[in-house]
Amino acid sequence: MERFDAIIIGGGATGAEVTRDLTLRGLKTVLLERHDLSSGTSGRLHGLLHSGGRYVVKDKESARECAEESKILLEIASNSAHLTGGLFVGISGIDDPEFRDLFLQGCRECNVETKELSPKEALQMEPYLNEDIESAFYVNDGSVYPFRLIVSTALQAAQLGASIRTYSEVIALHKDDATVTGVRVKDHRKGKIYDLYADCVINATGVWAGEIAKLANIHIPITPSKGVMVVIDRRLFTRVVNRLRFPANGDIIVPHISTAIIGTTSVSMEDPDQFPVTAEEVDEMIREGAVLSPFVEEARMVRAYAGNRPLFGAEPGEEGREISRTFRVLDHETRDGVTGLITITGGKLTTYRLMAEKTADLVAEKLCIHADCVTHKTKLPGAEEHDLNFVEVAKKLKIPWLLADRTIGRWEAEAKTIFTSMEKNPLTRLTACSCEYVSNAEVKYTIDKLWAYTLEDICKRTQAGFGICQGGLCTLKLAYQLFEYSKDNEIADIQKAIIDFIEERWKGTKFVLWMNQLRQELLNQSVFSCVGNYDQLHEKILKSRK
Amino acid sequence: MDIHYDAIIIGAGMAGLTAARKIAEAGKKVAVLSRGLGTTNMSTGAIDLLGYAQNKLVLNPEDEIRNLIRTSPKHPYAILGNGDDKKALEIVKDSIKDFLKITNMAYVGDTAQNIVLSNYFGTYRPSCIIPLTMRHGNLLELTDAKLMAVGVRGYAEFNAKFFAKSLHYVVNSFLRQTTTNEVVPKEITIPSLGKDKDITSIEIAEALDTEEAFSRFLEQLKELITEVDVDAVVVPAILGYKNWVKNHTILEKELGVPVFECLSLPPSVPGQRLQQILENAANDIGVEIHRGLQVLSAHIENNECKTLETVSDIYRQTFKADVYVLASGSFIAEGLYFDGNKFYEPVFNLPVHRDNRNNFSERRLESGNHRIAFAGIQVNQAMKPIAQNGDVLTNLFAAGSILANYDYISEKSGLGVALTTGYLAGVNANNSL
Ligand SMILES: Cc1cc2nc3c(=O)[nH]c(=O)nc-3n(C[C@H](O)[C@H](O)[C@H](O)COP(=O)(O)OP(=O)(O)OC[C@H]3O[C@@H](n4cnc5c(N)ncnc54)[C@H](O)[C@@H]3O)c2cc1C
Ligand SMILES: Cc1cc2nc3c(=O)[nH]c(=O)nc-3n(C[C@H](O)[C@H](O)[C@H](O)COP(=O)(O)OP(=O)(O)OC[C@H]3O[C@@H](n4cnc5c(N)ncnc54)[C@H](O)[C@@H]3O)c2cc1C
Repeated sequence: MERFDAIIIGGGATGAEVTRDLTLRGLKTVLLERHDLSSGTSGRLHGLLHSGGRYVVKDKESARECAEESKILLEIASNSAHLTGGLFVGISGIDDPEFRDLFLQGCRECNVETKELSPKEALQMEPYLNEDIESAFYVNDGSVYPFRLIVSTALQAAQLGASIRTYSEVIALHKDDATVTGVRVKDHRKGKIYDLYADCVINATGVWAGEIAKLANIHIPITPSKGVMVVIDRRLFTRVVNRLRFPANGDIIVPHISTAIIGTTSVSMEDPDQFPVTAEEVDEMIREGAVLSPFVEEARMVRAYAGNRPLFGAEPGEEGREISRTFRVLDHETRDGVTGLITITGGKLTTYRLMAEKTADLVAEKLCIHADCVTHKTKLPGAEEHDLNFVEVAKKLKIPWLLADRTIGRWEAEAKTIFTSMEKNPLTRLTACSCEYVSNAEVKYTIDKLWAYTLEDICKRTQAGFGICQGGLCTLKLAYQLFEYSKDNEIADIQKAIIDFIEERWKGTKFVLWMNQLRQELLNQSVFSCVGNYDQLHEKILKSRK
Repeated sequence: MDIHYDAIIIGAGMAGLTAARKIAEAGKKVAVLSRGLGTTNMSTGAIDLLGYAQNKLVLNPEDEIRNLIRTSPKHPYAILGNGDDKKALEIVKDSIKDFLKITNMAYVGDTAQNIVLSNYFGTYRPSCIIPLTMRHGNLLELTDAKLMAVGVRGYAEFNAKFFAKSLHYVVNSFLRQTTTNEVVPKEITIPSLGKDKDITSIEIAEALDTEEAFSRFLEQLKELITEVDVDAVVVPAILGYKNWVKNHTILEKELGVPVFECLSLPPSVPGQRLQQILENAANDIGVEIHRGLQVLSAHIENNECKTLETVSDIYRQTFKADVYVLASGSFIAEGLYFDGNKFYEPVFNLPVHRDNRNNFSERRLESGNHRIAFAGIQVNQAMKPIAQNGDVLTNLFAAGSILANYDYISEKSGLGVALTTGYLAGVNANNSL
């Protein structure tokens, strides 16, 4: 019988961080995620590291949390969270000019640092902005790359002894009277079902938290709230740009590596697993984005995607009051009379550390463990100081300097591990994705150390396949790496991985197919179906594996 | 300054260069205007006629083209014979004979017989008229064969180990007509290109055109073949640009077993060779090929095209001819556009025909359900496009992947349609002069 101190369900930012926190406090933990790490809402977000500015008028509690937490993240996760800076701009004749004073007052109340800019200054900082600016503010917004943040979090936990299990779904809770004692797990990769036991089970499944609670006959009021985002092919701004108005659809553009992401919307959904993107929503994002920058209309749309926010509804007794959009830690012992189960849900990615800290505090209290939280001062792997210099690395390993530069840019101090493997095995110096400059060694690293089992898993960690060609030319090269380095894959599994990946990428690209993006797609289909014949073979391959 | 030609062809792919050749052969003054390299240059170099019909692998393209003409009267193959399947097949056969002639025996194939080739994905697909270097790669004839797959160190596009495992699995599981015994992966190096760094198919092919690199290549293969007893050797598509036929002949002779190239992804050396063969043949009979020249618009009077406006990096120029052939390709080559709202053909503003269904299907890997593939311009039985007003332009012909009503990706018919329609458009254009 496998026993742990704590079982954490949900491999999003929150679950991974609860695991790191509890492991740092000395507990024996296991993290269970039904798909890949950050395959839930944490992988479908806008990627804004909130300074708090967005919330200073309508949700002051969230604003304060974001202001503090974003600072901590820039310290401990410097490899995946970046201070880009941010602007709030009011557009003449469109945005309500009275919002300006509310914003300024809110920033003061919530300790969100800000500085007013003249329209001219704002345009100097961001030349592609709409020129009709009425007022503008600078804030400390940033961007965050969630996939690497979460794998780094899990990696640190694993280095300290945590067991990280992806493609492992919790399908039942074990109960002893009114105490949750463990979980039943379905291992989707091996097709096996097994049981785990622990003193405490933490439900960190975000928008799915209600489903896990249901397994213990507990009701949690969560409404999925869908948001849509559109990726364009150019980094129009170097900073995050927000509209200076009451939060509404399509009013933020976040720069991400060589792209920019326009978002987002807010639509109540019934089913947490449903987040369709419609053509109207894509149009709306482009229309609103064009208010911030007329250049949005000229850009090439790369892809569109959506996610569901876990919006926590009113608890009994709270109905009718304005509810903060902050997070909830639910102690089911006091709330529902069920011991051994704690739920953490709601919140934002920016506050995931704080959410985990509060959860871990409660776990520690329940298990009578006297250890304080140290996550705010423990840097994630990769975030340590380092003196890697891409020119030297490129020279020493005889690799293109762009490859060295991008690798360091992605992994910071952890890039050492990748360069060491290049030294040992020269063939891993070859490039797997030439749009984003990802080496075979980097791909191998994600397979060996970072729980990458599919092509999509590899791409989320390395950004391979997210470039201009959208996987057309690198899909096969990535499959080669999976074939070379993954342990228990048969050739049929690799062929399935290729097919799954081709379909997975399609989910995002199919909404933005016109002009150059259409040409690229038809070229990719020519590669996959005209040359690879996958339009004919995919069903046969998928069937033969069953 | 106006330059006057008998015929001007827009587009230097399989369709345009074939049409140009047919007109120039009759002694006419012909120019090809081409903005860049199109899809012919990116293709695998193997010419498909018809690879799938009703989701079934086609073994005899002639038979299935006959059926297709009956069931899809708007398909370009049906237009070839104006509904008469005998006539259409005659044109198919004539155009292929004509093509084989210009390749100087570097291509082989029989319109009544498809062959099944392997590719870098380690899967298989049918094709028909193929480079000599692929002839012995017909999986249908390699029943129970033991193959050796040879990769090149540093050439990351092709992984021999993956190819070997995958081909064995895919052929034995899904290709009813044949089996393979075993595929043994091996690796060689091209010393002149350095070790442990990325090398491209282009670099390898250029190297193998030199005697020095080729002899090192051959030596290594000879050694490998003594280690294992195999029935045939498969290599990636890299055997040279100039000397590929010669290299291939030497390899087969020296190794004593059949050797073949498999189908590659772009950038594809055999696709580039095909482009070169077509351009050389056109050049040889006096066709002027103007590269880097985009046709912007056409001046039309009384349903007749008078002149073309063009632009290059440096200047604008007007071209004038008695007849014109539009072979500017599909979306990839920018013969057609879709801007999110409307479809258009930029030079003549011809109506782009398509049905009202969604452009794309729910799933990406679906055969025949991405309706956008069928979009294109419609032509009458003389290969003349129908204009917005329903009339035809009297001196304009069209051919190739710009044509509507077929999906080369699913049916595997791309270069075949381009060749046959380009041929007929060329013959008709010449007759109209
Ligand atoms: C459109 C949109 C834009 C956003 N933009 C931002 C932003 O810019 N900045 C920001 O800070 N925040 C943003 N957020 C909010 C942020 O994304 C979420 O608050 C955060 O990611 C939630 O993380 P989580 O770990 O709690 O949940 P999730 O990431 O959803 O993790 C829950 C995990 O549990 C797993 N799971 C579910 N059921 C089971 C089971 N039975 N067994 C095992 N595992 C299970 C799921 O697969 C999932 O991976 C945005 C949200 C949305 C929807
Ligand atoms: C990756 C890939 C693999 C393929 N593999 C195969 C295969 O194995 N077998 C097969 O049979 N088919 C294959 N095809 C399909 C095949 O390549 C095409 O169907 C065929 O090449 C079309 O030929 P074309 O002459 O009509 O057009 P293209 O070869 O695309 O030529 C169009 C020409 O028009 C020019 N042009 C466009 N607009 C203008 C303008 N305004 N002014 C001047 N010039 C202009 C372009 O620059 C280009 O030179 C493949 C396609 C792709 C993309």
